[in-house]
Amino acid sequence: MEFRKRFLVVLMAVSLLVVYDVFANGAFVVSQLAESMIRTSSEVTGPRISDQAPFLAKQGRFAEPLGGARRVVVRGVEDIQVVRGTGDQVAMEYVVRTYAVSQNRAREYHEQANVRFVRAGDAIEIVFEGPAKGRDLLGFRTSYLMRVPDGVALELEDISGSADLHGLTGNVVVRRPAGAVTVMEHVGAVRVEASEGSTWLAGVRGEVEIHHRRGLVELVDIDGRVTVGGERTSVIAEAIRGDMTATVDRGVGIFYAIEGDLKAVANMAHVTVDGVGGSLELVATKSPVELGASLGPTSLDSEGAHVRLSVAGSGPRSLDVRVENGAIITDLPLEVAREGRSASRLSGTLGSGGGAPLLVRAVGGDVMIDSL
Amino acid sequence: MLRGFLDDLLSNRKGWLILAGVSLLWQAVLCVVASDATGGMMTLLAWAPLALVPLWAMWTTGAMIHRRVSSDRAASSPSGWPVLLLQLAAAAIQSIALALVVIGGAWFVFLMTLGVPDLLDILPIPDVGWLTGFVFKGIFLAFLVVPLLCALTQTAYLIGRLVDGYRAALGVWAFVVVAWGSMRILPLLGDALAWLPDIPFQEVFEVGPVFEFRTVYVDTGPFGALVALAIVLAAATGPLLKHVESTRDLSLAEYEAQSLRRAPVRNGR
Repeated sequence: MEFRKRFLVVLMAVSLLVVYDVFANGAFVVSQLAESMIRTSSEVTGPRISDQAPFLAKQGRFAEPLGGARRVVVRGVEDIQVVRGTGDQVAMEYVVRTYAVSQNRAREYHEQANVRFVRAGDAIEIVFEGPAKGRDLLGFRTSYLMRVPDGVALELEDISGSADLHGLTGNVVVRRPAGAVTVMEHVGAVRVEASEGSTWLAGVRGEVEIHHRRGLVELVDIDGRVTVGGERTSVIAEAIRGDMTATVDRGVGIFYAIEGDLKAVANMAHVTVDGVGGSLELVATKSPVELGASLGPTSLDSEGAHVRLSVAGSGPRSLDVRVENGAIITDLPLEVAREGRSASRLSGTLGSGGGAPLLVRAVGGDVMIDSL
Repeated sequence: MLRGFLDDLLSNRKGWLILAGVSLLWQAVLCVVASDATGGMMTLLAWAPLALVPLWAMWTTGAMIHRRVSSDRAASSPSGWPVLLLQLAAAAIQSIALALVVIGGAWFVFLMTLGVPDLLDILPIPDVGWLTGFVFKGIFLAFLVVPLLCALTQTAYLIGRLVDGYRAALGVWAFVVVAWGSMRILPLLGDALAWLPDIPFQEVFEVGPVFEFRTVYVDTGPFGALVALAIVLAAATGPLLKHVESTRDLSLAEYEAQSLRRAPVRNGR
């Protein structure tokens, strides 16, 4: 048989197979193809141990008298909860889990795992001891519940899970947390460094300084100066009784009821501000900005995005708005003057005059002023 | 061979120009009819001609192989898989050029209608760089299916040329059969190519009241499989091209007679 006929006979045979396959497995083949085309994996931030991995667990508790120590240092724990303790001692409850490819293989490593106190100068360090690596060892998970007396400072480093601190009185430093840090009803300064998770602070009486590599910072009811920001970081702040400096990057910045001055820098972020008792200084790059009516002296530099201002019920204000490569859209009874080919300006006073100045400089975006 | 490649590359330029012109005209109309309220919709519609690119790629590949098979060539001129692979390359370059024209036009429509400040208002995180990277990486990965579509077109066309009548019908059926076979092979080939480096995508996740970027890695094995399968298919179709070219001037009777003469004599017959 010549080539063409042979080829066509083979094609016919394959066609029969394909027809059968389409009717018998059509839906499966299509869904398998769809599932196989888009396969994704996320970056892992916590310990790389599966929840289903075999483990052995042990727990214990002990207490250590302060004996002149003024600091408690904890390193490399997964989850930690710290509450206010009584008396003159640091009390501790811990749970340690040892993960390996089987429970039998975990036993050898589990026996070597231990949590204990070590004194170093004026500090008490909580030390976890266990083999760094081993054949068939997947890793350890540690969870602490600590009670710390009043006035003792706390330093937490490399927390891979969550850190919950409640009702403490003493300065707190949290370095390189990867999960959620929660500080509530706290008296004393709070510093969070190089966080890659979320930080929630509520009811803090003291200075707050937070630097994130990414994530969300939420601050409510803070008495003291606040410095907050970082890369890829959103900030939500409400009821801050002190001056605030914030940097928001590729996220959201919401600032309500700031009693002191607010200085903020926003880069590619949605920013909303209302209720600033002191002065507001905002530099926004490619960041849509909404300013409420209840603001003190305000200065806004915006580039590449729209700005929305509300002056409804704001009382007397002195307005000076200049826009380049954009428009001023307003229902105010003030005249918008052209400046050159691409700029426009609105200036004047609202109410009886002499109110807090509102200075806006915008490039490459509209400024919308709403008086209703 | 280089000359053949350049001929293929510049072939169908009228069709290319017409398609590019229609695309730009469509985008110009969108610019004209856009209002403040419809800027986002017009920007989305401006990307619609991108859907024509795979169709164009298949059509131009079919036209290239048809011209090749129908033309008079010296017997010594190269044939087989190098010709098919170069035609794939030519179709890919034409398609990329068309896609760039559409993307350029869509970008212009975006600037004239929606604009960057309005886009920033809409985005959960106002990062134009993120959106641009996301869209271009997505388009790039999606368009890796185009070489396979072109290779399927080549194969289907050449199978259609094996008969004298109903060529189009046989070609369409062959396309379906080979495409189905490809769908069966792709998941396996994708698994085999899982070692290819992943492409990072920044995805937006909702975290409480805000959004944040998280890096998601897309396995490029399946997309590498698309390209690899296209190359393998074009290479495997090479002998078919040689056969079709060597027998194209023969009628069926002449072909059968020639085949019979070539058949080996067995058992003294």
